[in-house]
Amino acid sequence: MKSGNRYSDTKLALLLMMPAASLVIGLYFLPTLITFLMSFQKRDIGENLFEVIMNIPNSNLDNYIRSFRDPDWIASFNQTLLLILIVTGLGIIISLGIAILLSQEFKGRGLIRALILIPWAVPPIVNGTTWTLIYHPQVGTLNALLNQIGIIDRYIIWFIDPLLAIFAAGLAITWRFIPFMTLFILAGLQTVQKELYESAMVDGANFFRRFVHITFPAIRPVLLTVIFMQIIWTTKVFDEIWALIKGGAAGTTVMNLWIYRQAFEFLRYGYGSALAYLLALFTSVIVVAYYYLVSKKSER
Amino acid sequence: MKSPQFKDKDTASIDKRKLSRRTALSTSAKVAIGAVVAIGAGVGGYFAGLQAAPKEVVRTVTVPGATVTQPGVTSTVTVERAIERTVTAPEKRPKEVRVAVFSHYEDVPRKVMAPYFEPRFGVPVIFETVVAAESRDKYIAAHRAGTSPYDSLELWATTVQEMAHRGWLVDLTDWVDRMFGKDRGAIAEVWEAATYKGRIYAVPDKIGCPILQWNKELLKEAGLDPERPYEWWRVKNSINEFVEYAKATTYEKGGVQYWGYVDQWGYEVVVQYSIFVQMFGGKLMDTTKNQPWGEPAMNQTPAVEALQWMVDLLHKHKCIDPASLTYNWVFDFLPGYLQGNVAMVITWPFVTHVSENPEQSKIVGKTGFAPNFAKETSASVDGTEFFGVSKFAPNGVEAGLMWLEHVTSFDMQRRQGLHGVWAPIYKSLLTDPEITKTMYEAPVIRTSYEYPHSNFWTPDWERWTDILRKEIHAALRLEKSPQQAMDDAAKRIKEERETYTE
Repeated sequence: MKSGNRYSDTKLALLLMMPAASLVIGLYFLPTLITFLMSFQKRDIGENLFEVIMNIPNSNLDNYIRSFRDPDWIASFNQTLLLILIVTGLGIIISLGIAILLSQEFKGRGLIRALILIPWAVPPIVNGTTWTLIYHPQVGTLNALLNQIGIIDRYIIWFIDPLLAIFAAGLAITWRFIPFMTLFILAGLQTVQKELYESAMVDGANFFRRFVHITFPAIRPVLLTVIFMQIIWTTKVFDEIWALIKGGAAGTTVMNLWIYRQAFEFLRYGYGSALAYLLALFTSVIVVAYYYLVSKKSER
Repeated sequence: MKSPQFKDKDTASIDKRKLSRRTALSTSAKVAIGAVVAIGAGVGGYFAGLQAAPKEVVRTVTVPGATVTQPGVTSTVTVERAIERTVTAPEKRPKEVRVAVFSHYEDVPRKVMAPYFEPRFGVPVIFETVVAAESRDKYIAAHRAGTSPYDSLELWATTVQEMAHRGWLVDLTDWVDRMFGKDRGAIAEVWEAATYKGRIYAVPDKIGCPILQWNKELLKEAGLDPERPYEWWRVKNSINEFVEYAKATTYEKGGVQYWGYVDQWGYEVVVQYSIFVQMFGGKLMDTTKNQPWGEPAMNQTPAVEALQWMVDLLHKHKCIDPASLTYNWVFDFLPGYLQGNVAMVITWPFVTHVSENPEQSKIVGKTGFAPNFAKETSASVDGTEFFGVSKFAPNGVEAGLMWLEHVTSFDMQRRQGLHGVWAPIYKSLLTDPEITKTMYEAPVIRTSYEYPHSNFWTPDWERWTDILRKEIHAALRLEKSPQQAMDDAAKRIKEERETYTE
C-alpha cells in the first residue's frame, strides 16, 4: 500500500513537471541538439530535426576545420580577446574606484548608490545607439566636449582605426557593466573590518598601502568572480557592436557578430552552428579556469 | 396458416406498400429529372454567368504588334492594348489579402492605396509592417518552415534573388507579360533585380537611385559655378571637374571644417562603389556568365581604376571627409550636409526634400540635384523595392496577385508619386506635371535610370559583398593596393562559392 502511494506520488510529480520539462526540452535542449548535429553538416540553411537526423551519415568535421582557415573568424577571435581586455581592464579600474568612493560615509550616498544602477537598466541596443550619437564624428557630444575643454582641436573619427574603434566600443560596453561590477565590489568592501584600517592608520600606513595590504586581499575573491563574469559577458557581447560598428570600415567584428552573420545573413547554419559551439567551448574554458582558481583558493 | 381476415389485412397492407413504392419511384424519377435539369441549368448559368461577368480595364500596355515589311525595312509595330480583368465572383474571392509592407514613414500602401483596394476587389487587405532591414530574416525563417503569414511580401532586390533561388516565390513571368506587356520598357528599367534565371519573381512598386546633390552656396563661396553640376551627367570625364570642385570646397574656416564631398563608405561601401565602377565602364560581377551566380569582375581594369579613384579622393586629393568610412547609411552623414558644412553628396533622392525642409535643414533654397557626374558615362545603382507572392500564400496565389495588380495599377502609382517620397514605376508618371510639382526630383530619377544602374544582384549577394567590403576597406586604409585588394576579393569569392554554393 505504501509503495503504491509512492508510485502514484512519482506519477503525479512527473505529471506536474511535464509542462515545464517539455518547455525546457522543446525550447532549449532540442535546439541545442539540432545545432550540435548541424554543426557537423554542410548545409546552407537550417533544417528541421528530421532532416538533420536523416543527414547524420553525411556528417564530418569540415566546418570545424574550416574555422581555423577562416580569416574573418580568426580576426573576430582576436578582436574579442582585445575587447575582453579593454572591457575587463577598464571596468575593474573604474568600478573599483567608484566602489571605494561609495564605501565612504557621505551625505546622499544612498541616492548615488541607487543612481549608479541606471546604466545597468539600459538595454544593450539602446546603449549602443546612444553611444553612436556620442561618437558621431560631426555632431557627437564626446568630440564637442573634448574640443571645448581643449583636449582636441580636431574632431576624432572614433571608428576609422580598428584599434581606436574597438577601444571606443569597449568603453561603451564598459559603461553598461560598471554598475554591476561596482555593486559587487562594494559588497566585498563592506565585509572588510574597519578596525583593520584604523590599526593600519595608527601604524602610519597611507591610502595606497592600506589598499594593497588590507583592501585588495579582502576583496580578491570578489574581484576574481567579477573578472570572470565580465570575461564571459564580453565574449557574448553583440548589441553594442552591432549598433556602433555593424562590421563597418574598422573591421571590428567580434565572434558573436560573425556567428550571427554566418547563420542569419549568409544562411550557413551548419558553419554558424560550428562557430557557436567553438565560442561555447571558449567560454567553457574560462569557466573551468574560474572554478579551478576558486577551488584552489578554498583548498588553501 | 393465416386466418382470412389476416390475409385480407396483409393483402391490403401489401397493396398499400406497392402503391407507395410506385409513388416513390415516380417521385424519384421526377427528382432525378429535376436534378439533371437543375445541374444543366446551373452549369449553363455558370458559363452564361462567366460570359456575362463584368470586366474591368486594369491598364493599357504597349505590346509588340504586327511585323511590317517595307522595302529594305522590317520593323515591329508597337500597339496599345487594354488589359482587362474579369471581376471575380464574390464566392470565389479569397476572404482577405495579407500583405507585408516596409515601415516607410509615409506609408503609402496602408494610408493611400489600401482604401481603394476593398471597393475594387471586394476583399479586405490586412497589413503587417516589417522593418525593411529585418524583412529578409523574417521571410526566410517563415518560408524555411514551409509557411508564410503573408500572401504578398514587400522585398528588397537581394531578397528576391535569394527567395527565388530557394523556390519560395511564385513565378510571375506570365502574369507580368500579361499585365505589363512584353515590352517591359514601358515602365522603368528595374526588372533586373526581379529576374532570376530569366524568370520574373517580383514586381517593382517604387523606384529610386542615388543622385548628385550639392550646396550651391558653398560652391559660389569657393568661386565655382553653382549651376555647372547640372551639366556633368552628360559630359564625359566630368568626374575630373567634380574632383576639382570637391578640392576647392574643402577647407577650414573659423574653426569649422568644410568638406567638398561626403559619402557612406562604411557598411554600404559596395553600393556606392558600384556607382563608380559603372561610371568607369566596369562591372563588379559578370552576371551574364555562370548564372545565377555570375563571375567576379571587380579585379578588371575599370573596377580597379574606380577603386584607385576613391583611394585618391581620400588620400591624394583629401577632399572627402575621412569619416565617410564610418558612415553606414544616409542618416549618418546627413547632419553635416544639412548644417551647410558639406558641398556635395551622392545619395537617395528623398534627401532633396529633407534639405529643403526648414525644420531639418540650414541649406533651404541653396541646393541643387542632378544625375551623377560621368567618367565614361553617368551611373547609379537601383534602389527599387518590390512585391512578390509567396509560394505559401495563406489565402492563395490569387490573393497575392490581387495586391500586385492594385499596387502597380496606374492610378495607385499616380498616388505613389503624389504622396510618397519614392518614385512611381511608370516612366510617364516621372514627368507628369502634377507629380513633378511635389516630387520635383522625379525627372532626374528617370534620366538616371537611362545610365548603368546595376547592383549585380545574385542569390549570394550578402556574402560576396561582405568579402568585397573588407577588401575595399583594406585598399582605402592603404593596407593593399586597389589591384591587390580586388584580386584578393575575386579569389576569396570564388573559393567561398566552391565551398558553399548549393
